[in-house]
Order: sequence, then structure tokens, then C-alpha cells
Amino acid sequence: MTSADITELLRSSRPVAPDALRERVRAIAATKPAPSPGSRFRLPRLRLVVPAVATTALAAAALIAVVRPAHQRAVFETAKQPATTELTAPVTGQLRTQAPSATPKQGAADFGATASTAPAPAAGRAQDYQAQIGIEVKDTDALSTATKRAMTIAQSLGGFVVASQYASSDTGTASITLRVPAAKVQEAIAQLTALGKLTSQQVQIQDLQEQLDQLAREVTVLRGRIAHITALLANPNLTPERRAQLTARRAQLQTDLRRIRQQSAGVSQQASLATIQLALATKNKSEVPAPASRVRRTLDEAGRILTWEGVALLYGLVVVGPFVLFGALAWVGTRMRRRNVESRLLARS
Amino acid sequence: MSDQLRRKEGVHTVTLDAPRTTRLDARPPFAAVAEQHLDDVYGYLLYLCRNATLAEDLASETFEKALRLWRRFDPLRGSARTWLLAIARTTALDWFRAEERRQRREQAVAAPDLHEDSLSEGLSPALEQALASLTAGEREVIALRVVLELDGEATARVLGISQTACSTRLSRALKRLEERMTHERRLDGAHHRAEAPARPAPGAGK
Repeated sequence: MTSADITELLRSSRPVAPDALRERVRAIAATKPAPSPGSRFRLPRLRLVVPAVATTALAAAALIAVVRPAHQRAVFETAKQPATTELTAPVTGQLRTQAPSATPKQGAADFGATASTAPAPAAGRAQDYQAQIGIEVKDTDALSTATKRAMTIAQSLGGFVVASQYASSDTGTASITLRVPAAKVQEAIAQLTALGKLTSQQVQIQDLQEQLDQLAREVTVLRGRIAHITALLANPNLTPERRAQLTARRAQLQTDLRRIRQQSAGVSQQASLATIQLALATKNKSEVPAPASRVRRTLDEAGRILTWEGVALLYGLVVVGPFVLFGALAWVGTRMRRRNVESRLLARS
Repeated sequence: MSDQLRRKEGVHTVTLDAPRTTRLDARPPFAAVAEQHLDDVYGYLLYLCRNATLAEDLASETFEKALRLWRRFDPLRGSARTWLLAIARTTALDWFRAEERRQRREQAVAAPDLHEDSLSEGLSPALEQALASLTAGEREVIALRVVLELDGEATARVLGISQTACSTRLSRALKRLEERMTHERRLDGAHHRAEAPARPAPGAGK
């Protein structure tokens, strides 16, 4: 007998439920079913949950992205701060002024207020005045023009150019060291900062009057000593040896006097001219991107929010992951154990 | 008007409001399903446990469970027959487990006594014996695939295994059944040959 014969035989003699069982089942079907425990709450199916969650996340990201830019603009406007002035070294009179980021027009407009914060050299006192100014210009053409203009300003105010360095390709920089009369340093700074957008300003003032007074006192002392030696040499009773000694001494003092007078003149010269180091630079193109369209901004914002949602999801997975893994292992273990038990039960004849 | 309100007002004729058409409303009534698939459930359980009384009890319990779970039945996920057979299998396995525990407890007191009935009136004793020699797992796959003629997918779903595993199990079961049948026939033939000389030849005494 083949398998086909057996199959045919088994199918032809299919078991039929007895009438008693049929009546019992009819009676069961006629009764009202009692609610099974847990039938009220069922976990939603995964195939519905996943698209629903994804759709909600996308919708939330899009909604926030549409609404968000207005808030961001408000925050940006309040984030703008006025120029801050910091006095870092009161002893030497060093003063640092940080200018805010502003458009070139605003830089020119703010210039007056910024220049007024730069300290003026004290009248009647010798001071070493040094200023470093950073200016941003639009492009290389503006850089060239500003460099020439800075030199002209220095010369027009009675100053001169100490050093100048200019370099340009896509972006350009120029570094100019100027000396201008101390009395006109504020005017010079005012004109220089108008060349472009003021990015930084630093002023250092060092008092030289005390040094100058000390040198003057030394000159007075030396002159007194020279006069005294001259008076001694006027005595005809001096021995030739003593005379030669005093003469040599007076020559030495006269040399010292000339040196100190030169030193004093140098200090006075230093105090009479202020040093301005001007750093000019063009705009870095990558720093100022072209303003994006509203659609682009919305898409960028949506992408950013989706990234954050992904981060939050990842964070949640990291936190919940071990518990889920433990639960999954427990579930797999239970399932395997149940399968083994079923196999054992069904292995009986 | 709701049913509750009608009862409160003494109205006995209940007219249901127009039901919302949902996917679940497309299901046939439970009574019709039970009537239609009772033979399948009973046959499967009879093949599985080889005891008519037990199969009847388990079938009855299966339909009680099915009635409780009827709200969860989704026709789109499978046929009612597959769903009922899966419940029947779970019910039978639960009974097997309980029986195993009971036997372990009472082994010292009384040996298990489970009467084995004929699976069907049309089966030969040889085929009955061959089926009895199979394991319950082999008999259930024969019952589902051969007797009830379920397709591979439905059978695999009822058994909770893959279709490949289901085909393998069926193939092995049929092979064993065939071997058993051949063996039984040989034994039967040998038995007949052994009995033949002892019989008196017809007309020998005359």
C-alpha cells in the first residue's frame, strides 16, 4: 500500500462529530459569550503603530519648523549687544574696546559712539599712546582703497606711515602702522574707523611724564656739577695734575649730559606721536552665507528637528534597550521551553 | 433608543440601530462557523488524542474558548477553520500538560488508563494500528494535511512551524505510516500462513 492509497483511504473515512457533541456545541454557540479578561485593551498592531509614529514625528517636525523661525529671529535680535568697554590695566592706562558685529553702514554709524569711548591723551603730560584697530571691508577693491586712504589720513594729520603690508587673493589683508601727533590721535582714529566695519579696537596708554621729569632732574644735577668744576678750574693755583683731573671729569659729565638730553628728547618725541596699528581685512565669504529662502529654512529646521528626534529616540533606546533585551530574551526562553514541552508531549503515541 | 432604555420602559421588541459597517461585522455568525467546522475540529482532536470521549470534551472546550475569543477573530488574518484548529491544538496541549502532571502525581497510586477508540469506522484494523504507532505530532500533521485537507500555509500556522518543517514532518509521518502498513501486512500474511496447516481440510472428515 502506497502513501497515495493511504491518503485516499484516510480522506474517504473522515471522522464525523457525534450528534451529542453537535448539540453541545449548538448550546454553547447559543449562549452569550462572557467577556474574556484583557479583551478590552489590546496592543495596537505594529504595522499600524510604526507608520503612525513616523507620520506624527514628521508632522511635528514640519509644524515646529514652520513656526520656529519667527522665534529664532526674536532671539537673534535680543542677542545683539551694545559695544562693551573693558579697562584691563588701569595702571598703564590700557583700555580695550570690543565692537559688535554690524553691517558696514552700522559700523560707520556706530563709529561716533565707539570713537568717543577711546580715551584721549592727557593734556600736559607726556604719554605713550598706542592703538590697534581692526577694520573689515567689503572686498579687495575696498581693501586697496582703504589702505591708501589710511596713509592719506596719517599724512593729512601731520603723521606718517611706519610700516605697511598688503596681501590679497580671494580675500585680502593689510597691516599698516601709523604715527600721528598725539593731539590728533582721536581724530585719526575717528577717520580710520570710518573706512569699514569696526571689528576690534584696543588702546594702550603708558605714562612717560615721570621718566621725563627724572631725566630733567638728572640734567639739572649734571649742569650743576659741570658749573662747579668749571669754577674750580678758574683757580690759577691748581697744580697741573689736579687741573688735568678736573678737566677730564668735566668732559665726562658733559658727555653724560648730552646723552641724557638725547634720551629726554627721544622720550618727548615718543610722547608727541601716537602709534596706530591698523589691520584691514576683507569679509570671509564662508562666514556670511547668502540668505536662504523660507522653504529652505523650513526644510533645514525640519531636518534639524528630525535629527533631535532621532537623538531622543536613540537615547530612549539606550535607556530602555537593556530592559527590552532582557524581556526579549525571557520571551524567547519561555517560547523555546514551551516548544520543547510541546514536542515532548506530541512525541508520545 | 438604546436597548437599556427600551427595557426600562417595558418595550420588549428590540430594534437594533443601523450597525456601523466594519471589517469585523463581515464575519459570519459564530453558530454557523461552529456548525460548519465542528467535524474538522472533532476529527483533528480525535486523531491527536485517539479517544472519542476526550475528543468530544476537548472539542466542546475549544468552542467555549472560541466563543469567548470570537471578538478577536479577524477574517483577514486567516480562515475561521484555521483559527478554530489552532485553539483546538492549544486546548489539547493544555490537557496533555495537565494530564502529564496528574499522572506524575498519581503514578504511585494508579497507572494511567486511557481507552483508545477507533479513529473512524471506515479504517481497516491494520491502518488503525499503524496510526496508533505514530506519535501524536505525526498524527496531527496527517489529520490536518491529509484528512482535513488544509493547505501547507494553514497547517504551518496551526502547528506554529514553518511550511518547510511542516512538509518534512508530513513526509516522515506518511513514510512511517507506509512502513507500518507494510509491516502489518507481512505479519498478517505470516499469521495466516501459520494458521493454515492447523485448519482441517475441507471435506477431510468425510
